Amino acid sequence: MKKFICSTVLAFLVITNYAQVDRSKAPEAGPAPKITLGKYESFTLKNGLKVIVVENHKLPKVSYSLVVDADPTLEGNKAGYVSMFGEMLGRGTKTRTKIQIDEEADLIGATLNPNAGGIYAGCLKKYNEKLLELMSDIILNPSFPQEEFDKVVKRTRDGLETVKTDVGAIAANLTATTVYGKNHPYGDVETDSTVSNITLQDLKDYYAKNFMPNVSYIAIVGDITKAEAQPLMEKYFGGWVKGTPAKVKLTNPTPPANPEIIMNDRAGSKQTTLRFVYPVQNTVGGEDYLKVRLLNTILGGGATGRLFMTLREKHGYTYGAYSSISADENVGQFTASADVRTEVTDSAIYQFISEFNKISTGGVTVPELQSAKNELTGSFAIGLEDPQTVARFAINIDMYKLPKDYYENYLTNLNAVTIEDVNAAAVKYVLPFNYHIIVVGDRAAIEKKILKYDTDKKITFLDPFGYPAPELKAVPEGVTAQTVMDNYIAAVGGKDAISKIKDATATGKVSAMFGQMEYKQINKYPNKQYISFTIPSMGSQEIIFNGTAGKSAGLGGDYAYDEKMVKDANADAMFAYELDLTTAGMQATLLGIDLVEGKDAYKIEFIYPSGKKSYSWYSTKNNLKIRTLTIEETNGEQSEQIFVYSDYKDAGGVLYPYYVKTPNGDLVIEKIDVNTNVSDDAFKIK
Amino acid sequence: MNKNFLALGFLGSVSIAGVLAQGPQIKFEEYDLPNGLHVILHEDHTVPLVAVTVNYHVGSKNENPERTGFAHFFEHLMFEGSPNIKRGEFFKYISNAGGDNNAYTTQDQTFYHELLPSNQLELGLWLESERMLHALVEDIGVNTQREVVKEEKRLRVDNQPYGRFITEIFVRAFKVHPYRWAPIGSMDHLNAAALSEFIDFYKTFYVPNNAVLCLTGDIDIAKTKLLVEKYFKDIPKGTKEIPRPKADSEPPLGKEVRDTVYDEFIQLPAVIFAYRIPSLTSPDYYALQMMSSVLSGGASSRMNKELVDKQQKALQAFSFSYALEDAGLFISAAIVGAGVDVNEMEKLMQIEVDRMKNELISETEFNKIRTQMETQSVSANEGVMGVATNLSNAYVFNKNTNLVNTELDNYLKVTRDDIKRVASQYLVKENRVVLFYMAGKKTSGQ
Repeated sequence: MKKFICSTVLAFLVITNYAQVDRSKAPEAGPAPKITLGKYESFTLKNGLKVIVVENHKLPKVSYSLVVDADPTLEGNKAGYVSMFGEMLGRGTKTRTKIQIDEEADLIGATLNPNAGGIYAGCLKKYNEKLLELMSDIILNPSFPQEEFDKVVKRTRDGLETVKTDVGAIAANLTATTVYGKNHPYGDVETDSTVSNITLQDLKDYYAKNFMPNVSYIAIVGDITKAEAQPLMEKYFGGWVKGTPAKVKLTNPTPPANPEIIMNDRAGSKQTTLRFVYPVQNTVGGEDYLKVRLLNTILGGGATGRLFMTLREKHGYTYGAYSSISADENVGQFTASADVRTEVTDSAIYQFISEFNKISTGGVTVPELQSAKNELTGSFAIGLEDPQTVARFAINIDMYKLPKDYYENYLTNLNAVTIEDVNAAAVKYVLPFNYHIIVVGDRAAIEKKILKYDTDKKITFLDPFGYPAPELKAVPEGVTAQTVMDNYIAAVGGKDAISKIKDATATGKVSAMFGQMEYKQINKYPNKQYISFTIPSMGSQEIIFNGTAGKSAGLGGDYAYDEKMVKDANADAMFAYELDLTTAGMQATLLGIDLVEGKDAYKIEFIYPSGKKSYSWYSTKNNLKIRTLTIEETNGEQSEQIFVYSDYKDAGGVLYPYYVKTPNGDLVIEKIDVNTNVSDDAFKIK
Repeated sequence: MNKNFLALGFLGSVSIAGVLAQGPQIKFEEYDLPNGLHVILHEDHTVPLVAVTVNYHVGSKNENPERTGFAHFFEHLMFEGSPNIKRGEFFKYISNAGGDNNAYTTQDQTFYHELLPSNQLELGLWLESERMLHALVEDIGVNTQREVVKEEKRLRVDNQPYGRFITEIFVRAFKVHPYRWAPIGSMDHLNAAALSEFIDFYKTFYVPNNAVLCLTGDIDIAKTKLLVEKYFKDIPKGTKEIPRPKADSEPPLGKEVRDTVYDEFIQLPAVIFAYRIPSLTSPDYYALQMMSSVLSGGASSRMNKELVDKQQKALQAFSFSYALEDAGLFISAAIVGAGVDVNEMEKLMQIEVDRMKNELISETEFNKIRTQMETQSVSANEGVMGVATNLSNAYVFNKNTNLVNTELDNYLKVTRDDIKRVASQYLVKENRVVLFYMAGKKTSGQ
């Protein structure tokens, strides 16, 4: 044994003596191998069907892909019928039931995948003709049996159930309705309701209007020659009748003016699915096509892209972060995506945005561009290992009206792209301010943190299918506006405690944008109120209501309350209108359970005597009022005034919020004096 | 809507031992370096590409039960670099060369692969030899990849509908053998592990005598041998004993295990039967694979035809043989259609199981699955990467690299009686786990 090893080692030494390994740097590449494109041949049948043949005799098999190049169809309130049409192909012909088709296909070990855009079929060469017989029967003679349609409807409905929990599918739905909208075919999203509008006739109509040989291609790949293929195509597809295809004119969407967040709430989710999306104009073989491919490779094409390196390798936020810029005859799409852990959602958004900024303002580097060229050259070569690629190239040349030698020159053109070209493409295609951020994640955990990335600070919430999400959850049985208000009163000390308070004087400070203000508020039973804001060295603003009349005077200008304002002020001046809605002249309706800063709260709508609306939120946990939103109308313009209450503390047996966020700034109450026998003079209107 | 999303989600990161192939004969050479590295070479000049693969014979079954997830974690760590490859540059070398690369981890192996233009063969060898000789196992890499792996688990397991499918089955089907935990392992274990433990794992398993280097494609065998020596011969042989669990350590299940698990991210429940089966090296492997084809290979297979299409009780139904190196599971599962009771689904699935045990499959079915095997075997060695993977796995698991050329014969030897026999032998209640996978809040289950 020992001897054997020694002699083997010696043998190696003799051979490899020259090879003193220098491990410190990567070995040089050998001379680049020649990349040769496989050849293809083509012919057209009398009915206009274009056939492409790629011979490959390595394995004894053959495949056919039929592509029907139909224009996209706006499905609207019947969204889903085109894909259901695809499901119906292969579910019955004039002479075969679905069971017969499946049985015959499985007997020859065939792959047979019909879909709305055509069919892919493949098998061992020895069963070639049997396969063609099945394939042509499926495409030329579909029978659309009602019984199969019913099954497809059921399957589709079951499938829709699973969409509700599939974050990728949800993100795709939100993207579709957000980027393309309801009037663009790419914005169609199937739901239970659209599926219920679909009839078998819709499917038959789709077939009649779109499936015709003169807009179709068949790519044949495998152990077959053109001479063999031609008579077979005549035999099985020669009888397909020519038609006039439906033509569609589309109005394509544009990117949003500002960043907007569109979100689906997935309570409890440990990850947030993020997609930055907007439409782009980019076509296969178009002017910018190669520049955009290089650009995207550098930004987020794979494990060496900037997004991956930053979000995964540097920060460990995600398993992967990528981007894509799709090319499409009608409208393409920019997408940057990652699934990140919930806690770092905002940091991840920040990193995405800074990468967009970096590349669109700073461009790319020479080594990055070279590496991207190498990568795309390599993937072009790797792609050629699959003979289907050559067939796809041939179809692309015809479909996108590319020069005949487009793919012959592909690598030359790719390598001729300059850094200036890519930097110009970065400015044009990576928009640092015009994207939608699609977010599927736990609202309670992330809403507050990501709000700053939404321009109008208002996130749009959608359901899993991209429709407006019902904002509120249902309340448990037995809970009414009255019980919520009663619980609130109880929580602050109870009716009896409140009734013992004859007057209360609060002082505090408001930190406003322009500096600090002193705040004073006096209330006296039953409905007198005095409020003042004082800016030292400038003066003050007083708002007084004496029970029958009101006035605002000082820095902000003077005005007396009109009749409507008097009525409303009457309610506001009470210690708690929740205690006695009748006296306040208000109506209350419980709307449901809402989320306020991630916590559940009952939302009640109040209507003041003047008709003015106000909403208050009461914590479901401790029953305290945590937020109020009042819709004020001045000179015909509406504005929302939001107050957020916290830091409830006792004063004279009743809890008051000592910290209030107001539209004028944050108010911190310093002290509240109760029952100090405040004189009516304090509410005198001068 | 992508109709295939369910299948993807359901199987998750499961790697099912692929059916190895026939088609044209695959010629290859194989030998060992003195340090124990097994080398397999296959020359094919169809396209100017080369597949560089290293198959380390370490998977989650080699892990310390207190440190599960290590093998998969290493798959990540092993891209962190070496003294000569800066952190984060491994991927860059590959893509800069116009190549493509990745890796995967199963219960039994960790497989690294690069597909490169053939003039970059030496680059691939340099990268792989750096990884084998002195990969960086440092705090910074460990900490970063720990976070990445946690995200992978959230993405593929925790947050994925049916994502815990495999974990929940194996933890109930195996009580002793390390197959009881899934390759993704425990994040707590990864958090608790010290750097020295990672270094120890590296020194134990990432050694030439525990690896197979398989190169296929546009190579010159003689020149390639010299290059392999240049980069790999000086890598020292491992000195530590390589822990391997006892294949027969697991006693028979003994009685049916029945349980319910909850997944808050699903809408439709699933019913799963998992029967214990022997190793992928067992002669019964082929009959079991063919049985799964009878049940769910193709639209006219039994489960698809009966449960999905005719009765429309299941949205999806499938069977597959999850055979591993030491043992395996034959899994039959259905995603239950809306409004269908799981107990009813179980009964319908049981009817199919009983039919397999009680009746011979028909001549037509038999011909069908034989044709399927033939078709699969023709396609299995398509592409240089497919060939490399099949050659390497045949050596690692079957110690018979030439299996790639003879496997179809093994399938064609299976008789209808064999299929009935394996059904009767393995598809018995005492040998199975029945799992109801229900929509709802997750329990504290493992």
